[in-house]
Amino acid sequence: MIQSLTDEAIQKNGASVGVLNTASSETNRYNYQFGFLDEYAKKEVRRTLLKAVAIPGYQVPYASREMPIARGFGTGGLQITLSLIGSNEILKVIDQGSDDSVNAVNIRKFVATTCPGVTLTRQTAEATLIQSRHRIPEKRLKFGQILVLQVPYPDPLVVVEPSEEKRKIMHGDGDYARLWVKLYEDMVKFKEITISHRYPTRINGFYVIDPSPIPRFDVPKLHQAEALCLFGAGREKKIYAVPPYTDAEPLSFSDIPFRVEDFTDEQGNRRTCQRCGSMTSFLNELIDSKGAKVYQCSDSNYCDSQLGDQK
Amino acid sequence: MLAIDAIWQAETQQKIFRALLNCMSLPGEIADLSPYLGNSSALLGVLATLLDGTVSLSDEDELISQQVRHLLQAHTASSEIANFVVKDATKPPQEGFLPNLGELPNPEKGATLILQGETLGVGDLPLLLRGPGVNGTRKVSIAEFHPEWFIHRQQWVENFPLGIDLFLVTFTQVMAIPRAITIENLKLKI
Repeated sequence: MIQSLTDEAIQKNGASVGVLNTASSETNRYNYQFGFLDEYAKKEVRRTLLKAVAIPGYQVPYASREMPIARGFGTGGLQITLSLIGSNEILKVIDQGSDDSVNAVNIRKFVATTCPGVTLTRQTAEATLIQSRHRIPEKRLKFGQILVLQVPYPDPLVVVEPSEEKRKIMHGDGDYARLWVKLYEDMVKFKEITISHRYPTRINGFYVIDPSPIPRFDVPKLHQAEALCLFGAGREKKIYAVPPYTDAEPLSFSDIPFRVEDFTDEQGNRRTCQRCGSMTSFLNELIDSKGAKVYQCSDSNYCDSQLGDQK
Repeated sequence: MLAIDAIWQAETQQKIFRALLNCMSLPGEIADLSPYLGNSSALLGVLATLLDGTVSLSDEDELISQQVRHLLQAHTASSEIANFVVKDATKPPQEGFLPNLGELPNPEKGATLILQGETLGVGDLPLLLRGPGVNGTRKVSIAEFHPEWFIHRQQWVENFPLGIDLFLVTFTQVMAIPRAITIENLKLKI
């Protein structure tokens, strides 16, 4: 009840709302320690994070812990968040760009329960720590912010090599020839690289990562980003990172450049968000009550802020 | 009532870790850990934050007292195989010193070297850093870190992703130089 009130308060204000310490202590009836994970688990994740940042793009193995949500629902991202978070943190959690989808709401509630003092926000600009599933926020992330992405499948080579042992050798040798062949075969068969999300991206000229199931639209945001991007795959027990000011280049052929999703209509005009009118954001295709296709910003906070600016 | 030094407390370790992560993601950035250390040194603050019984530590220069050594829980290993290697960097590396550089499929096994020196931010040893986490180039000067450490480091990291990751510490400050960073110093010709 108290937690739902906290979420309601966030909804009403549309801005940052401090999680009530009293609320946290009342709902934390089992007296979980700050950040839920024990300190040994946090230390291991922290050591892993440091190595991940030191070796950009390399998937560092770690002993992923059991979490009170099912694997595949963001346990990797959540373990990173809980190992990073301090009581003075300002946290934003989104799922597919939305602050209100099930995954985001539940992770936010869990953090609010186990991390008293943490401030929850919807505003991308004011968050110090952003946990996300399947999107990088529309608003450009700033220097000093940390983005934690939930990753289902961390290894881009899994589509060409089933053995993890062999994949590790291939990564170490920088041997991505079979991945290139896969992309080439796509061009031969379909005249198009068919990877819509999880687009393989080379980090700092060496390792190729799976940037999590973000759309192609978001991949260029990793390149020379000011924010630190951390990737957590709980089920696969891997953590990797893209430090700030680091090259992130989607794999492409010299004569077939990488391209992002196309939002132009039949007349050649860029589709706009039906709510805020944005002509630059990533759009979700929806069916309205009359059965017609409409388009709306995927990033709900961006859409709200665009509407707020218009008012 | 039993008083526990700040560096052993979870809240302090979270803050120190965030400072270390910030340093590692922004090589050349110098973090002042003094608000979190109490009476302890930055070296102990870093070790208390990162070590436990599952990792190994080499301290051949005996920079850590036996009492604190016990609290860190890490098992002792030789500097060739230890996960964390602590060195007095005011002196040059010993002849034949070679930390663990990792393996191509498992580069994370490369050691983390923690070099204890005197001064970060000013000094007679200018380092020009380039690479991930550096916006273009970044110049940082240090003092009382023996230059030979950086000549050896150049050899240890030349076959990326093999290599070591460095933390440079003074009594209250810390700075990181991960293996992907290239260091230029005209005096040292590296």
